[in-house]
Amino acid sequence: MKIQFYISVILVFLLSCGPSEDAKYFRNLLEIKENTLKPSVDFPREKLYEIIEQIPSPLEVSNLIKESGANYNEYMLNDVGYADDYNNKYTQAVNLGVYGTDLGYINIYSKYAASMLYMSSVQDLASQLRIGQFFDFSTISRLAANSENIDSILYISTAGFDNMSSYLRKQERDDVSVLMIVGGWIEAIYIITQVTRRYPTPKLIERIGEQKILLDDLLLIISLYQHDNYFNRIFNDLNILQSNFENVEIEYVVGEREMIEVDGILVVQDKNESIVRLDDKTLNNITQTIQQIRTFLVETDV
Amino acid sequence: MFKTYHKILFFIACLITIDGHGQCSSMKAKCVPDVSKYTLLKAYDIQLPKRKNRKMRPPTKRYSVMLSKGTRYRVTGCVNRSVSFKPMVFSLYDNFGLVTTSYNQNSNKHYPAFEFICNKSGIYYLTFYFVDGIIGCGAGSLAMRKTIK
Repeated sequence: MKIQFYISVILVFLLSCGPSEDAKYFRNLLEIKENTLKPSVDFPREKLYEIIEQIPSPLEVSNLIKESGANYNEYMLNDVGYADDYNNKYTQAVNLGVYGTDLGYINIYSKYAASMLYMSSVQDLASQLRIGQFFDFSTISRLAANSENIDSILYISTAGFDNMSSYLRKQERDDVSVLMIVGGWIEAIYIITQVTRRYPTPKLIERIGEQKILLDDLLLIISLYQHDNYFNRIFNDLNILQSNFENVEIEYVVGEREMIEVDGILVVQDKNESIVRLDDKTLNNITQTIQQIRTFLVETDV
Repeated sequence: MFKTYHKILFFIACLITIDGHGQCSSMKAKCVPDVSKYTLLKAYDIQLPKRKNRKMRPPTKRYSVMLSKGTRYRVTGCVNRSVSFKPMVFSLYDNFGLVTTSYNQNSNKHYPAFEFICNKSGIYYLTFYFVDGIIGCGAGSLAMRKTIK
């Protein structure tokens, strides 16, 4: 019986270590909640995050650009020097998404020095938004010393952003999640449209056109915060972009799928097909509108 | 009376310990395919409650994701064996129905991963559930193959 008693005391003591951390967490949460923008209408959070999750990783676009044979172009990216000048929640969150996409592009091209600079900006902005704990900068710096570690750097940055998003969701900071995803998505489309101006390939053009699929849902989640001036500006800009995308046609051709087993893994070859059509005028309009939206997003005086 | 108090304290402490600290921890980091061949795009923690009764479908986690034509995706599933002792079934759907799944009913085989060579850009859905609706603890990941073959 004595053993039971001592074990109980130890367990209760161990468990009591938790609440101090919890208290700190909840204090922090309360403070953040006061500054969190609420949606204007009731909208299921599950649905909101379903939309956020369906936005593709910017790494996909960067990978496609690299495969197209386009050269690395750092001048397209948002200047790391601006990071310190983003001094409100809106620009910090949006540009955290922007820098995240830039970082993915840099990492896909294995540019180590730039990767460190952008990672530093990402961490600065994330820290200001109180979500900086997900990037292990010292590990990344160590890995960057060896050119063979780019895969690990890519993984650590992706995992960092992933954990950051999960944390924001847990903290119910949905406005920040939406701004980050918008910033990251616009930057990805900005990069691909800029590259396409110089190296237009059917694959790149098609990838631009297929963004039409996401736009309605993206507008929906931004409209939830439209009562706020900053969100309202983005909503109006994306409405213009949506009107540009109206001229994009997406046709679906139905086919059978083939399945084979390769090395114990099931491989499915899709025979359905999507065909995206957009003319040069539509592409130019999209490129220009994206450029305008992106210019607003990376501005520091907002 | 004092002995009863000890027993209750011990029982509560054990319960809290089991529930609070022995619970399902994140498996995402362990569910990443070879980074030299694949680029991780998304990772999901899968934590599911036990099915309430046998007549109900197993609790399922669903994620939506946009997949793009010309990309070879790999979906991997991992199970925390100390919590979940049965396999996890993960499947890919589009708006028309099932595209593929990790479980082959005909051969009764569970695959650790599947690859999908996408030819139709659009919104797809990844679902995860545990066989027989047991308590689920695991992870899933979506990655893309570095060179399209």
